[in-house]
Amino acid sequence: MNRRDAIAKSALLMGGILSAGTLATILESCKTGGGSKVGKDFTIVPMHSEMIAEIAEMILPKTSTPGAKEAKVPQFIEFMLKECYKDDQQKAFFAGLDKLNDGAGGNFMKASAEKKTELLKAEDTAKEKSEFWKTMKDLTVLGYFTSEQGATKAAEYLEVPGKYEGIKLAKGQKVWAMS
Amino acid sequence: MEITGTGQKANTYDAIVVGSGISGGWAAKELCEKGMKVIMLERGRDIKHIVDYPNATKNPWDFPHRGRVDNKSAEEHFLGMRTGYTVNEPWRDMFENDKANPIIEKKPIDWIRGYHVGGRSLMWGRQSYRWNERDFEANAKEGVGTDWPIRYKDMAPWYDYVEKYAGISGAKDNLDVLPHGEHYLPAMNMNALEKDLKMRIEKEFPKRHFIMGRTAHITGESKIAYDQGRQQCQYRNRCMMGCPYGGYFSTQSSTLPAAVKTNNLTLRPDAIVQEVIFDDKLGKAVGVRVIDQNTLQSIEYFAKVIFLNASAFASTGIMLNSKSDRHPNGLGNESDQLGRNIMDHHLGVGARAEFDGMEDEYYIGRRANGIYIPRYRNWADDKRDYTRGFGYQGGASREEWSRGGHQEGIGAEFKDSLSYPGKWNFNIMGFGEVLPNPENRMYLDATQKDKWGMPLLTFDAEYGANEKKMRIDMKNDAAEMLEKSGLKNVSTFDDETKHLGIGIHEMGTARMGTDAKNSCLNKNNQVWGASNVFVTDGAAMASASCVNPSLTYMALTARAAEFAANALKKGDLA
Repeated sequence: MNRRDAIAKSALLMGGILSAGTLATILESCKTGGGSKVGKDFTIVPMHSEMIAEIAEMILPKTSTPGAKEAKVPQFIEFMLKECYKDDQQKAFFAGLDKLNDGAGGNFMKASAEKKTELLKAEDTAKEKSEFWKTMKDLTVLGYFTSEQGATKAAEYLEVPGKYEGIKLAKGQKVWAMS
Repeated sequence: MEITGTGQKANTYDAIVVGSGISGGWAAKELCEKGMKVIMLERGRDIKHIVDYPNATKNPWDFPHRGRVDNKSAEEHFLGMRTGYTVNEPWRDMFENDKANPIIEKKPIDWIRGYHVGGRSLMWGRQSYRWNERDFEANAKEGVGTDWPIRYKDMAPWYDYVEKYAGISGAKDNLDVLPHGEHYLPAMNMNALEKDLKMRIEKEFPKRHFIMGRTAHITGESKIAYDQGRQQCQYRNRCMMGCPYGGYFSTQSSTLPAAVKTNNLTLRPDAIVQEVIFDDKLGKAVGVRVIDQNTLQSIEYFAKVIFLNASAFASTGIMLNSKSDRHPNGLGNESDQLGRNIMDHHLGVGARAEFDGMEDEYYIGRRANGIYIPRYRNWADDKRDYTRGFGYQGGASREEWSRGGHQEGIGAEFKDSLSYPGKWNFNIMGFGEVLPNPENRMYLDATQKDKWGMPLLTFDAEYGANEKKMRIDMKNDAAEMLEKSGLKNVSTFDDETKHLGIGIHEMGTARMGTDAKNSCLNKNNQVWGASNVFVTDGAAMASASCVNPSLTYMALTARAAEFAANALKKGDLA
């Protein structure tokens, strides 16, 4: 958690305004500044769409629980880019995809699984992570765990708890979808 | 002031209450229950209990932006964006659109507004603390600001009264610094790490106390709450979207139904009060002038008693805009204190840390409350190089799936790890007292008006030297407590990007005092020189304490309402 997150998280926790979990959905929201263009001119080329879907599924693949694609995370990422990111942020994101594509010899989608994994791991473990990667990772995790598939299958969804009590963590007890 | 004759009778009530938030709701309830015909004027739209909480029962996936801020909202709520949370999707519509409601900032102010029936009672933090005896004495003892005209003993029965009805959850902690009530509902539970830290911190720092936050939630059997149509808190933690269970105190869940039940209440939304009409011949206020926010029609309402509960800055704006021969500089402004002494609580400074262990401990439920460490600085024999003090609010929780957004890892193993709770962590943040300073002020702009013809409110206020000194302790003490209680990776934070207002506790701009030369209101919250006008929202505060203020506004309001009703009967307000 970076400094900004810590501040925001603490600020919201306090005063009983919110507790920790809801925070995930609001941190890293649209940053202010940058271009002012909003939504309507947003276009996305098919190659970028394909790459977003492929990378999201590589970050959160189908295991015993649904993967990012099944949870419609790629559609969510495109929608969020259009609605919540400024013009210059969108450009930086697409430039990040183009750079990955170049790194794969000009065709990320056709590269081997090993090559693709290598490229993503390089992004993920970089000391200074690119804005593209931070956005990609953030939106993938958010989109997945707030989707119906993710929230109800990869986490435990309890709409009306009715109480707050300490419990012993039972084997297989999943994380709460909402907090 | 000329009064138009037609329709006067139809628009005449025993009392007018301006504003429908926490204090306005209490004023309406109390006056109605005393048999008075009351009109409650609210500048914003109506929000009906339960039916108008569209987001309260949505699933996370029902929110298109999954709770985040979209570009269009960020533009419309450009001031709200500074808060870091008010513009988020689930509750954005509860907060004001800054484009439609301009203000002027000589210096930045983080004024958080909720223009609708219920006001900020729908989105408040719900923390409910009594002031202590010294809070009311500190100004006089230290020669700061002006003396409060009342003391704790004047307020104690009214704290009892409002706590019993509103429903406050908390423990009877037996602390001088934080008096408790006798009618508390059960305290919420601490989790495993909090219980452990309570022992460690209280052992290491014997003069500090680690208690459960006291909050306006129904946490046990309560006939009083059930009779209001409320149910117990369901631990959903979706309070700011409105609670369909009435689990927490709001105008809608609690005071409005009581007022409606009397058949004495008229609720008038969309009515922006521009001024109090003061009759120089009669020497008293006779009504208010209102503009309908939609039709722009100008309307006058008349009454024997007027309560201003529009929120500190808005009530003060109305008073500044109410000029007459008797009150040439605004209502009750003989002292020139009207609009001055803006206070709030300064916050955003504290520490967080991780805890290794307790991996088999977890919790069920979403507790919209935390732990509280009451003030200990400049208390008893402690003495610092600043005055007053601060409390900490905080809590422990286990990291959940959101950690995946910023932790390294991709693939199956990474994904499956996020399905299980992560490390325990704990954080505390200070809430510090802000001193009254006459240079911290708001006033009406001489020329610019909003679309309803109200002069724009102009703000010129900032944190002072005492607050800045206090923040050093707030940061260092937090880190020290976390380090000495066995936590790991302690880090501090000090958010210097925020301004007065961020605590949502703005107050002090029409303060109570001992005479008309030093204040705007007397000991019964009556405006000096306009004894049938009462101000019982945050504007009335002569100092800020370091505890959350809403419970005190409730108690002040109920107290003033009883005084007003009795005085009216005796003919004292005629």
